[in-house]
Amino acid sequence: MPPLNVQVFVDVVALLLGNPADDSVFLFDDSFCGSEDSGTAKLASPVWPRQLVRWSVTPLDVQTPVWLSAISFDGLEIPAGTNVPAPWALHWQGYAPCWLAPGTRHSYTLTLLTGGLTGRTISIAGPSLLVNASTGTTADSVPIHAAA
Amino acid sequence: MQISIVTVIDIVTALKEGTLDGNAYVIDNTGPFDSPAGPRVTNVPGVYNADGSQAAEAVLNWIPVGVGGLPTTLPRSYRQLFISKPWNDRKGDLRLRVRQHNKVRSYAAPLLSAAGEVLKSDNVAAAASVSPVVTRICGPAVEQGVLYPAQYGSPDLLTDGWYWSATVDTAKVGCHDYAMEVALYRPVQENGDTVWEPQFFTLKCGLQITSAPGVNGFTGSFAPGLLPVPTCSTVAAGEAI
Amino acid sequence: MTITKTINIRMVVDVSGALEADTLAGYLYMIDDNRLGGSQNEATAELATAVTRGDRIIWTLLPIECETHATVRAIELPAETCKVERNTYRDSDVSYWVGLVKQPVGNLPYGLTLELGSRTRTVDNGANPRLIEATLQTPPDPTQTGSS
Repeated sequence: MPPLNVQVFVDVVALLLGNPADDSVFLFDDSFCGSEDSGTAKLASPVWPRQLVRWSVTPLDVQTPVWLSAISFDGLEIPAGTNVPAPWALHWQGYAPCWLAPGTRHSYTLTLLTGGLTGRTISIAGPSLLVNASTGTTADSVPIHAAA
Repeated sequence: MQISIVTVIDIVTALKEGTLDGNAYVIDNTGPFDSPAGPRVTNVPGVYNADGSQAAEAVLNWIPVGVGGLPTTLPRSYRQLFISKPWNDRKGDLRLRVRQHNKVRSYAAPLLSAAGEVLKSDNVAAAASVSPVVTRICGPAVEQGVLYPAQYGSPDLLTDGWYWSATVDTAKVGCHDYAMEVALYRPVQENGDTVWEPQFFTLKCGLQITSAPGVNGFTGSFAPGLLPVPTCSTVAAGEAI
Repeated sequence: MTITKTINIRMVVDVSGALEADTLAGYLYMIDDNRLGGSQNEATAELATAVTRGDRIIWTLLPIECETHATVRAIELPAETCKVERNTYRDSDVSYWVGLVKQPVGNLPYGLTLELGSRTRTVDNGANPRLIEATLQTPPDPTQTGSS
């Protein structure tokens, strides 16, 4: 099963100005079976249990650094680690658990850090993973219309 | 990561004193990335994968500006707005004539002050208005394969659309010296005309390279685990599969 | 009044850093071309520019992130001492400020307000520039440089 890649594009200055996430954060994925609200902060990405999901973040203005410092699902608080690496050293990927119920939606919140590293973080709520109804284990077994 | 290194130069004083020391100020936005390593030192954070390969690229861009030059936010064609009669008449020609590689080249643009005023070459402030040009990035960091500089396209007036940029090998952790060679222009009289001749200066600068292992934010290790989606299941969030 | 000398002040601002921290301190670098005349604190937000009666001052601003909006909204000086005005380069919306020193300045702090990221967001704290009387100054440290 190919990984699902979620690309997060951030207009850092717009975000720092306090503009709404819809005007500042743009998510896309490479799902082959249909995403919802692609290009917005409300992207809903179809995912299969056991599928690897990878997030990456890119500033629209390459001179304005931005990093993902946390991703939390369904409001679950992620306890901060004791030995937190520099934000640029973090990458974010994981397998969708096999127990995810088909048809369920799991919203997540992205936490962003910008280049000043003042400790100020910006949370983006809105995107989600949609668990496909089928539990196919290979890409070939997945009907293209399954998640439509 | 793209890093701009803006070098602001007091051109007139540098020409007068014959040095960039005390007359050039190296500014970038990498200060928060590490503790200050000294003046003119740029912090470059690197990341490596589990197999030791470089996980993220770092690109440096050098932007030299004069204290008294036009803002670089003006369009490239801005100076050309000022070329019209009588300035095109030979008698009162205000076009910029610059010596490059033993040839004198005229630019269809006059010298402008920071207030957008056309300057004659005999104006004492004129030298401040000729944009400085980075001519080379060299030194130990280049010789040791830390920096890989090259010229890229840009809309700069004097460099025919080229500027200096470099990729960095962030596996070379530590402080590395490099030199920024900069051409400033001074006026000389030649057959009754003012020609701007380059005078070359060197500014010693440095890179402070750090490198850290890439870490999965969910698991705290190199390897990915399960996404921490809440459930009544007993499987711990982040447990490797 | 006859202009005796033009002194340029170039400001370089880290727009995203200043927006993130909501201050110009540490994110604004002010440099003039009158160090030999007694200016001090070059490449800081506390530049002291040495001037004398009859001098003309030109302020320009450059963002490190070259695609980001940054301009000077206001420079506040007593008009009887230094008359300032905002000008715009011909056929553009890029602005610069000009000041004419009309009488001895002594040690005169001035207010500085920048528009950062948008025309409606201003930052005016953290910078403490001033004008100082050129004849009163001790020689500056010639090795002083700005850095990241």
